[in-house]
Amino acid sequence: MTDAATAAAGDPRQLDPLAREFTGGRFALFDLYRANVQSGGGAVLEGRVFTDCVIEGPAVMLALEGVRFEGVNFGQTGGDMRNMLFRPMSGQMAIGSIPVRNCTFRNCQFQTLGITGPDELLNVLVEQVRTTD
Amino acid sequence: MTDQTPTPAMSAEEAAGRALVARTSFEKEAVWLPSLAVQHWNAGQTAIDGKTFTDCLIEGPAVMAVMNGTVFDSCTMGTTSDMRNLLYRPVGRDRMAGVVGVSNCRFVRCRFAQVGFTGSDELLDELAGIQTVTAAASGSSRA
Repeated sequence: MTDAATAAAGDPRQLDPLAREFTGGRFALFDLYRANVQSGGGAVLEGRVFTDCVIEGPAVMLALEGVRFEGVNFGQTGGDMRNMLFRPMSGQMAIGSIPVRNCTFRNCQFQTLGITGPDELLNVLVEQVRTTD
Repeated sequence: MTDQTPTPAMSAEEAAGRALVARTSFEKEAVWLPSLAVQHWNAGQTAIDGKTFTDCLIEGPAVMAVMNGTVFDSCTMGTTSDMRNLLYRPVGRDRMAGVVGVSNCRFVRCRFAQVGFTGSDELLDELAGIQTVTAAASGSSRA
């Protein structure tokens, strides 16, 4: 069963995809990623700070090194963090996910996002994050 | 006295989205999968269901949850020599957040770009068995 949302995706025209800091915005991660690529920002979202943002999917975030989650509401997980986690079957590539490196998510709200990454990260998230819904 | 509460008019953008959701076939066009999913969600549908895509480019970034009745016929699943680079095993067993659910859909001679796949263990094992992009393009798979 998939986890659906009713909210529309944010308007990418209102985003500066190359901004280093995003505060208080509401946007779809796939919109930001595509705009970042089209603006020459590369295929990885890197070195950004997101504060008080609502970040929507559908998207699976590939959390690479240096990604920090501080006070994040990870969204509806059915009370089990594992329901938003995915293990890449290859240790080499994870095609289809959105790579994020050296980014901080502070007091953000995730909606219909999944997370993938190395086993160590996934294990930490399962052990340390408690979800309520 | 009758209740004549006015109904808000649907915006042109919303009307276009609903029209997209109502379509059952797509042919020779590019389909941005995450956007199509959002249009379905906004229409109250949790999955993309019962559509046929023929000779389409299916674009991500997105991870597709391949659900019952979905068929891939002579598709190019992605630019990789190892199908496992496209596959994700869900850690949880009850729900899957962040993915695009697709059920009872047929993909014929489609090309997927930046799209990963997840689903049941049986599906993943079947897809992982495809050796190369070339092999994927010449084979078919049923979920």
